Amino acid sequence: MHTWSYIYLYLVGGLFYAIGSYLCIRAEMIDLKASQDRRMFYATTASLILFAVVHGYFQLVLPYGTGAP
Amino acid sequence: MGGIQLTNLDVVLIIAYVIAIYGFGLYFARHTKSTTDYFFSGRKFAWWIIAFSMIASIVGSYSFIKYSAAGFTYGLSSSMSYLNDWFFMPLWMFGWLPIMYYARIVSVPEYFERRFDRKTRLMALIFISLYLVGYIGINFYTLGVALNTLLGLDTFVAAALVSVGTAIYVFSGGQTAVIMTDLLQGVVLLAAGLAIFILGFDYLGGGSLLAGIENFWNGLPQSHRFMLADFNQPSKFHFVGVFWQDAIAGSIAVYFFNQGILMRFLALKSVHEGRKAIVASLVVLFPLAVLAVGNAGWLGAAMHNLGMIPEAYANPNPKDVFVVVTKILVQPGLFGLVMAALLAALMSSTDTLINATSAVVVNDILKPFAWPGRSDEEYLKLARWISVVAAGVGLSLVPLYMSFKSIYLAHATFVATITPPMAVCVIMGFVWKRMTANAAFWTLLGGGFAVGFSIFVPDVITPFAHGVSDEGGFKYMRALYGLVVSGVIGVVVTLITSPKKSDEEIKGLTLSSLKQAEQDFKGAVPVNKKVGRVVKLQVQVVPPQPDNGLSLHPDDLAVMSADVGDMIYVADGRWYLGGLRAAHAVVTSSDGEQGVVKIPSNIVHENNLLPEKGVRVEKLL
Repeated sequence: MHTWSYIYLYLVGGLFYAIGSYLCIRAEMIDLKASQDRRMFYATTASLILFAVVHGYFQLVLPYGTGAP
Repeated sequence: MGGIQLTNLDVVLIIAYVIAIYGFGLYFARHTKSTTDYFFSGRKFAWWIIAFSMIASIVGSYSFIKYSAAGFTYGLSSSMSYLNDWFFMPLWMFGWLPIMYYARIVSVPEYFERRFDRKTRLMALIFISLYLVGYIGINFYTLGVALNTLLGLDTFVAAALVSVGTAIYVFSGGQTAVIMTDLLQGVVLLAAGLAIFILGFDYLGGGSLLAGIENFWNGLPQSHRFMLADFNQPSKFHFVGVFWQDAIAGSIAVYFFNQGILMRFLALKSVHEGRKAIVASLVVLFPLAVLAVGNAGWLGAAMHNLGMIPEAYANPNPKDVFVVVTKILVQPGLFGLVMAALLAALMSSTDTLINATSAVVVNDILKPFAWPGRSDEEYLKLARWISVVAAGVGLSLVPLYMSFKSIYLAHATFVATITPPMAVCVIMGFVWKRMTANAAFWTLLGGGFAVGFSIFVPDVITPFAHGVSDEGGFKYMRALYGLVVSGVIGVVVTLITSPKKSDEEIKGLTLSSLKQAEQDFKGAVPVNKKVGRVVKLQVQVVPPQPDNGLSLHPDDLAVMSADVGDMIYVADGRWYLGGLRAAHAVVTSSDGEQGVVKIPSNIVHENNLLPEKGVRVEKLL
């Protein structure tokens, strides 16, 4: 059930993130033609993905091993 | 559990810290000359100052005790609340923050009036006022309890001492004092929390940090090693409940309608700085904060499992684990730093709430209803005194919380009741242009009633419970129920009623009309989105100009990718001031000397610029 917690977090949470991003892009508040907006949006999304990967390591891999982080 | 004996060094450290904070706050009082300064610091700060100060505001005095207890009982999953704020960030960063910033809205109730109508504003005002004042009291109360547990001080006396000090510097310096003191307090509370973690590794490793990390991990029970709790059990602490209550409803509450946090972001020099501040917080500062506030519980669990808790403290109660671990690890002298961190956590949360309460009273009660049409100086004077009254009212709640735990619980229940309908109303209101004033009003009222009803009849939450047992009365799953019911009310009432306001009246207040708001914020000239560099220039002070604009050399403008008519930001040449001495201005001519900016004397004086220090100039829009 710990694995399901991780999947639920990033699946349902990711859905909210994706819908919010889509609405902002459609309203041109994330203007992907403007470099400042584009960089900020991509940096935020990349940070979330990196965060999810590290979170996944701590949730899905590390607790089952014997060594320290 | 008895209190800890303070050494002279501890006492000196604590007193020195308190004096430093009060002095720091009072020093910045001189930068406050208007209500805009008092509530929003003149909208000029850099992202890193706001990020640090926001962390200090979010970490309350109760955090060390509460998260240590959760960490001891449940392990690393106690970190969930601090690490799950990501999912509404696109809407917040690119939607809500620009709306509030560009439309120059100062509170959520004001947004509700401009977007919907006055009765919706009043409803939101009642909700937010009760939330703010109640929370000031809770912060004073929890600090009193913490000091009572740690030092044996009387709860009310401890709360009173801190409230008086906090009220003094908020009275004097407003938001600038709050931001600058919170910056310092954020550093102190992170440093103290992380120091406990390192001392814990040292203790567990018998003097070796690496061995301590190994022993810490091996000492943690396997069930304590997960960053996320089990999906739906136990009913007191499970993943899916924390997700809906905290990651979804709680995150919307903190970022979209917590007046204190909102004001913090409106104090930034630009919307882009706000985006940088929030990403830095999510990636770096929140993970550090969760380590700082939760580690005592994790260390306690490992020590307990390894039999390394001295006999005198064996089998500690979770709520005492922070004190126990602190007693074991922290030597006399360093304990003063831990106490300073607790005080920092309290003052930095409470000063934010006091300033926010003052803003709500002035901007949402006095200006529109009770005392309209007065000068800014009169409102500023009132704002200062309202800060003192807010602190006093908060303090007066402490004896009530002490005598009647049910009042404390009632406030927590009230917050849980208003959060889902407020969250739905805010999000739906700015995302869906069609949403009507009646829908907003009935979402708040009906959603609040439905959530309140579920407290007495928890069975209505069962369809939303994801298999969570009803033993705890669905404390966490109530949020999902509230969001769904409020959402349904909002949609249905919108579809059967007509909007009262035209598209023109709500221009800039919804996502689809936000581009226009950015343009209106700048003025007549089109928004310039070219990315330029910051230039460091010397200052030539000139007499006040009719257009109140600045003049720069064309080459300097080219480096900044700026044109005549663009909005620029001029700050003291010393970057580490973070915008403390800074101004927004417009370029009105390009006939200056290269490397020099001509600034009218009134702009220099009003914004505390020091011409001899030079300025850093960048284009904003």
